[in-house]
Order: sequence, then structure tokens, then C-alpha cells
Amino acid sequence: MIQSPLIWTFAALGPGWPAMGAVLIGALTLLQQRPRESQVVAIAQWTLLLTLGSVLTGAVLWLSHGQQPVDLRLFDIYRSGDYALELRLYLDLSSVVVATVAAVLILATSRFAQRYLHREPGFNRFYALMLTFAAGVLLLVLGGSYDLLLAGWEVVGWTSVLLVGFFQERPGPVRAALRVLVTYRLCDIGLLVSAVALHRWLHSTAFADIFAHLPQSTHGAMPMFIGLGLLVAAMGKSAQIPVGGWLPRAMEGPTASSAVFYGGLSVHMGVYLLLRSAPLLAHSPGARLCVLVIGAVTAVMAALSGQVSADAKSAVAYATISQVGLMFVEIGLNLPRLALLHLTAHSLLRYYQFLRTPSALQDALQRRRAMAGGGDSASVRAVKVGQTSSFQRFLYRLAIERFAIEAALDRWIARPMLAAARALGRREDALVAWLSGNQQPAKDKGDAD
Amino acid sequence: MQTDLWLMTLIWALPLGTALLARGRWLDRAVRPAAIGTALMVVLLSLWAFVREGSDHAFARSEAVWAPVVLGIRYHVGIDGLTSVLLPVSAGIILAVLIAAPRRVLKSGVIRQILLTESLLLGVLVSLDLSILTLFWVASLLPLLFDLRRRGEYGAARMMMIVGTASSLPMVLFVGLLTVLRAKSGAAVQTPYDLVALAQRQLTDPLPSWLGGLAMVGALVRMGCFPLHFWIVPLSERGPAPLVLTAFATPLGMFLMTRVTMPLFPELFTAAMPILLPLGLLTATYGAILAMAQYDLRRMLGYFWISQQGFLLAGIAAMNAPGVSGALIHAIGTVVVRTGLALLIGGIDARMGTTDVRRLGGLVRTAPRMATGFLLLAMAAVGSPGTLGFVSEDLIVQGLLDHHSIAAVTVLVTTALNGIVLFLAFQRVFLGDGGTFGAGPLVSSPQFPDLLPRERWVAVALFGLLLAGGLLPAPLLAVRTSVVDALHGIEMPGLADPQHEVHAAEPAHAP
Repeated sequence: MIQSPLIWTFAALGPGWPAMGAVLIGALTLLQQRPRESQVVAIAQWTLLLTLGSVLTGAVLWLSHGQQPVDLRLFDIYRSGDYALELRLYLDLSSVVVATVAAVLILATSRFAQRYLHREPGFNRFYALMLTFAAGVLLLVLGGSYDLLLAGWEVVGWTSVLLVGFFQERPGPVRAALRVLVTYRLCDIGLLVSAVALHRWLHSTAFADIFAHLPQSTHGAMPMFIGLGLLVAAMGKSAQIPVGGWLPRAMEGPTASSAVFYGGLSVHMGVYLLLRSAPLLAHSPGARLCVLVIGAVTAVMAALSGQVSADAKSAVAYATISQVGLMFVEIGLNLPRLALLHLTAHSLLRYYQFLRTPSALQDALQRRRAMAGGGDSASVRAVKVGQTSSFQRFLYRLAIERFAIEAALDRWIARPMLAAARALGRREDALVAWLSGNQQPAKDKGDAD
Repeated sequence: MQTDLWLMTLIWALPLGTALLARGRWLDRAVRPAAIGTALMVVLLSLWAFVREGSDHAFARSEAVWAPVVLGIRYHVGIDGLTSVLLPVSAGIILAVLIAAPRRVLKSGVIRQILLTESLLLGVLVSLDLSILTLFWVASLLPLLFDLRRRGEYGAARMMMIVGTASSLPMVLFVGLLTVLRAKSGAAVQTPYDLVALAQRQLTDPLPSWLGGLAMVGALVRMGCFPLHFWIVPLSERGPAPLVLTAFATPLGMFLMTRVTMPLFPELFTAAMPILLPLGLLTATYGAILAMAQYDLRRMLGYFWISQQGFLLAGIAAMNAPGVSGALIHAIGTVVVRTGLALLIGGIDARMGTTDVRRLGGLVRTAPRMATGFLLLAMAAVGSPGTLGFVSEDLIVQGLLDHHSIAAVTVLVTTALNGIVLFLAFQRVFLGDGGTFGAGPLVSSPQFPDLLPRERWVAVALFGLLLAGGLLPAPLLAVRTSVVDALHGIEMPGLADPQHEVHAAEPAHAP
């Protein structure tokens, strides 16, 4: 009974439900001026419940298979020549665990946001984006090939960007959204290149095929190259140094989305990518060493920056980066099980912590009251500048400037590139003007008809 | 047979008829409804042709000939897999333009030009006689040129003259030299311009390669490939938006490449690949980088278009099934995306009187639907999963993968840049509090109106088309069927090694 195709199909619909929900909300918005909040919430709750059901069904199927990885091939999306994009799912320990965590957290967020965002102008937009995000995450986690993982990855990226810029009228979040987008898109090239290289090397991007072929083809620099590409992509999504500057800036979005994206899920997707690719990385000590170094450096630097942050959300953001860095270290040491445990525990804890940040002040006051006035001197410690060593001062300055990484990137990469583009543009304009005989266009003369 | 002939003739003759008949002052009010009616008829006819093709001929070529041969010219029209998709898409785009373009711009004169251009474009698509095809090809830029002249845009008009000449002259020369060659060889060929016959004869009696070079140059100019791209941006910026959109409603350069150059000159194509591929990559990168530096939305869109043409060129230069079908599908997707974005930008222009991003900002507050439409189209434009762009870019990359990994990576990098460009434009125009981005007096817009229903539904339809294509791309892959024959001619010598292919091809055309 348990192997009936109907059950398999239901399990495979995990990413499909929230996508349908998002489309439904979009259609409602198109037809009515503004759908009622209760309608939107109902759609979200029901689709997310169905999603959770599908994910749990998948988990049961995986368990009933004796916890062996399940490669579920559904159908070809399209085919041209020898190449076909197949819809297939891959269920193993990491995907089942992370998918379950994702489904639970997103369902909880949906409940939380119902009140938190009540009467907010972007209420419906938030729900549509959150459902799209859910579809993306589940496709990313459950997808059976790097192609599908990539599709989910892109969806997660776009929705993250739009939720960072959720408060559209403020310049801060909008600029932050642009930074997130640029980071994501540039780092995603790493994942794309890896997928391309895998195609070329093993003629497949399906996990089942890759893991089956790996033992026979360990030679050469290919695993190293692919591993590094994956690392670049993971660094972008998981906000590792030097491309992690976007995460603390992303905190101006609504608390609910900060929690589910940057506390719970999105930021862990880089780790998941590396976990997914663990058998591949196992073949390349060089790539693992890079993962380890990046993770360790990030963990230390982010911990320092977090110590000197003046606001609660930034501090939590840096703490998150630091923990994710530690997960990179674990993967670098080839301890995928430990990293998975760390990921699960951390995303649940951090999710809750993010949800609490708006009440941080209240929490602190309550704590202080409970300590009956005696707590102040213990929790707040003033340090005179004269009492610190020069090394401490140096470190403090570095930490508060966030190690000047962003300034350097802006100065040495972003600005020269834009300047070059502008210069090229001026050249071309001059040439065009010359070709068109330096005629000043007659402005707004209108149609002579 | 008779139905085919009528169907294919009506497709191009109907808009021509309306354009010619809808004259006279008393008709001015009726021109727009008449034009929309005509465009709708053409869409329906071409959809019928698509269905007929699919069911009757399984996307093999269906052709119709009208007997008289005058000076070797014969009225020979046909529809195959490629055109069966291109025809409804192009006709649909022109219909969308007629419905959604601001009425202030859409005067009766412009509408007639649009219909005329539609007729000429669709004429190119259905022609199977080289001389008739060339006639349509040369004429298809003329309405735009005359309109620019009439509006006093002499700079842009002069540019159009240069381009028109650069893309028409090679084709005219091609036909002329073909005539001379045939006369010299003395073979009694009844229809020397018939494309089907030429393609069949190519195996036994190949034409000299330099002749194909002419057609290729014409196509490259029309595509707007670097360094022949100068005309695209001034035209996008200065031209009357609806008419320019119509002129871009069909990827004509790409079409000529697959209809004439590939089947008739497979050896040339193989030999030119080492040039075409870098040229495509250069075009893609150049367009993306320059788009980043633009402040005017229309100019940005122009460079974005150029960048996409580079993708197409790279895709066909891959010369295998995924690459070529990816390029063809991408050509269609790009046209749809460009139309949607340009209609929205035209809407901004009509409401605000400017498309300079430095003077815009925060439009989402009063126009959330316009913002959503722009964003969705922009995401589709850069191959967001679930849209047509994802399919086509995936296919292009797969096509390039085997022999040109570096090229595949370049395409990926360029796509990333394009995404940044379009999001930057979205952010500057629609988000923020307005005026945070620098120079120029801000156009304030407390009452910036959102999309009108007709604009909204056109945007929805265009995005729906991209979405449907992305989720169910299988029918669209029919575009490939016509090109596959030509492709097999090229692929035969040795698929495994492109270097080998080039060498293998050389002795064949040496004599």
C-alpha cells in the first residue's frame, strides 16, 4: 500500500502546494483590488499544511525504504537532443530533516505574521512571497539534481531580495536589497559553473547518478574545481566572509521574514548545498580545506563584529554568521552528520531568537526588574579606554568597521567596473552621434500626421 | 493545398489591406478598432496554421505554390516548425502593442505603419522564394524610416538609413549575384530563387561560400550584433515606441540565419563558427556592461536587447540540437520580454514625461501592479526558473557545454549581470522614496496612475505566455524541427570534434 503511486505523487507535491498558493494569491490580487487578509491567510495555512503533509509522507517513505536514499523520477520537463531536464526528487537523511524543519518553520511564520503584519500595506505581498519562498526552499532541498536545486536556489534568492526590500518606501532596505541581489547573483555563478562542470565530467547532474559514479572517477582536479564552485555559491547564500556584508543590512525587513529567512532557512541553504555535495567534497581534500578556512575565519570575525554591535538584530545576525561559519568548519572536517545536527538545532533556536528581537528591550527590562536593580552593574560593564591594550583597541576598531571588507569591495571592484562601463558608454554615444551626423534630435515635436 | 495557399497569403495580405484601405479623414476614429480587429484575425489565422501544422504535418514543412513563374520568380510560401511558432507569437505581439500602447502615441498614421510593418514581417516569415523574401526584408524597415523622417528625428533616421542599407544591400547583392551565377552556369533552372530547391541542390551543386557570407552579414546587422549594433539603442530611445516594438516583433536576423544561411551554406556556417561564437559572447557581455551604465530606461532596454542577441548567436554557433533550439526559443522569449518591458516603460513615459531613472522613484506606492508586472517580466527576462527564459538559457548552456565550456560560463556570467541591470532599474524606478538616487529635478507623482485594464491584461498575457512556455516547453520545441535537417547537414562530418569538423568541411568547398 505504502508504495502506491498516489502516495509517491503526494510526497512529490511538497514544493507544488506553496507554489499553487502563491499563484492563487496572485490571481486574487489581480481580480480584486485587495483580497481580504483572512482569505490570504487561509490559502497560506492550507497550502502549508498540505506541504507539511507531503514532506512527512516523503519522510515515512524514506523510512520505509530502510533509510536508504530514494531517487524518485517523475517525468521529463523537456528534452532536446540528448539533453533532458527531469523532475526527480532525492530523499535521504539531510533532505528529509531539512525539508521537515523548513515546512514547520514556514507554517509557524505564517501563523506569526498573521498578527504581526495585520493591516500592514504589504500583507498580501508578504504571504505571496513567503509561499514562493517555501516552494523554492522545498525544491532546493528535495530536488533530485543540481539543475532542480539551482532552480529552487534562484527562487529563494529572488524572494529573499524582495523581502529584504519589503519596506519599499525607505531607502535603507531598498539599498540593502540591491546588495543582497548583487551578492547572490554573482555567487550563484559558482553553482552554475559547478553544474556545468558536473555535466561535462559525469554527464549528469542527478545526485543518484553522481554519487553512483563518483567512486570510479576520483582522479584529476575536477572534484576540487566543482567543490570550489559550490563553496562560492554557499558563501553567498550563507553570508560568509568576504561576501557576508549583506546579512546585517538585511535586517530591516519584517521580523517574521528575518526570522524564517536569515535565522531559520535561507542562510542555512549554503550549508545544505555543501551537505548535499558531501560525497563530492569527500573526494577533494583541497576544496574541504578551503571550506574549513573560510568557515573558521568567518566564525572568528563575525563573533568579534557581533560583540561590538549596538543593536539587537545586528548582533543576532553576526552570531548567526559565526555559527554558520562553524558549520562550514564541520563540513570541512568531513563531519556531515554533525553539521546537519548543528544546522537543525541552530535554525530552530535562531528562528525563535529572531522572533523575540522586537521585544528585546522589554525582555531586558523584565530581567532587570526580576534582578531588583542589582543586575545593572553586572550586565553593563564600562571599560575605560586607558585600561585597554593597544591590541584590544585595534581589534575593536576593526570589528566595528566590519573589517573594512565592504569598503574594499566597493572601492576596488564595484566602482571601477561602473566607471569603465560609463566610459565605454560615452565612447559609444560619441560614435553614434557621429554616425547620425551630429543631428540634435528634435525634441517632442510630436507626430506630424 | 488550396487552403494552405489562402491561409499563408491572408496572413501577410490582411494587415497590408487594412493599412492601405484605412485612409481618409473620416476613417480616423475607426482605424484603431479596425487595426485591432485585423491583428486579431491574423493571430487567429496563424494559430490555426500552428494547429494545422501540428496535426496535419507534424511540423514538417507545408508549402503552397502559385504557378506562374516570372523571370524565375515564383510565389512560393510555406510554414514549417519554426514559422508555425514565430507567426502567432509575432502577430500576438503586434496585437498586444496595438491594444496596450498609449493612445496619445498611437495615432492613425502610426497604426497604418504598424500594420504595414506587420505585413512585411510576416511576409518574410512565410516566403520560400528568395527574391520575394528579400523584397519583404528590404521593405520591412522602410515604414520606420519614413516615420522617423516625418517626425523630424533626422539623426535617428540617418542611422536607420545606414542600417537599412547595411542589412539590405548584402541581401540584394546576394540575389543579384545568384542570378548572374545561374546565368553563367547555363543550367536551365526554372526557379533559381526557390529556397527549397536551392537547399536540395546544395548537396550536389553547392553555391560558393562567399555568397552565403553576404546573407550572414545582412542577418548579423539586423540582429544588432557587436560591432554592428549602433542602431539599436538610438532607435529604442528616439523611435516612436509602438512602431519600434512592431519592428522588433520578430527575431528577423535570427530567422534569416536559420532560413537561408544554415541550410544553403552549411560549410560556411561550420567555417564561420570560430568567429560567430566569440562574436556572440562579446555582444552579450558588451550589451550587459553598457546596460549597467545607462540612466534612461529605453536605452537600458536597447542594450539589454543587444546582450540577448549575443546569446542567440552563441546558441546557434554551438551547432547542435540543444544550442540551436535554445537560441530559437530564446529569440521568441526575448521578443516577448522586450515587448512587455517596453510597453510598461512607454506607459511610464506617457504618465511622467520621462524615462530617466534619476528623476523617477517610489512609483510602487501608487502603481503596485505596474511594479509587479515590471518585476515579473524582468525576472522572466533573466531566466528565472519556471519561465521560458530558464528553458532557453538552460538549452543554450547545454548546447555550448560539450565543446565550449568557457563560452557556457561566459553566458552564465552575462545572465547574472543582466539580472543586476534589470533589478537596478526596477529598484530605481519603483522603490525608494523617490529622488534618493541623485541628479535632476524629480518628477513628483502623488497621483501616478496604475496600469489601465488594457495595459494590465496585456502584461498578464505576455507574462502568462512566458510562464506557460516555461512550464510546458515541449510544444515550443517544434521550432527546431525545420532547422534539424539543415543541422544534420552540418553535423554529419564529425560531431565529436569541432576542429575536425572545420577541417573536414574545407576540402568540400575548395573546388
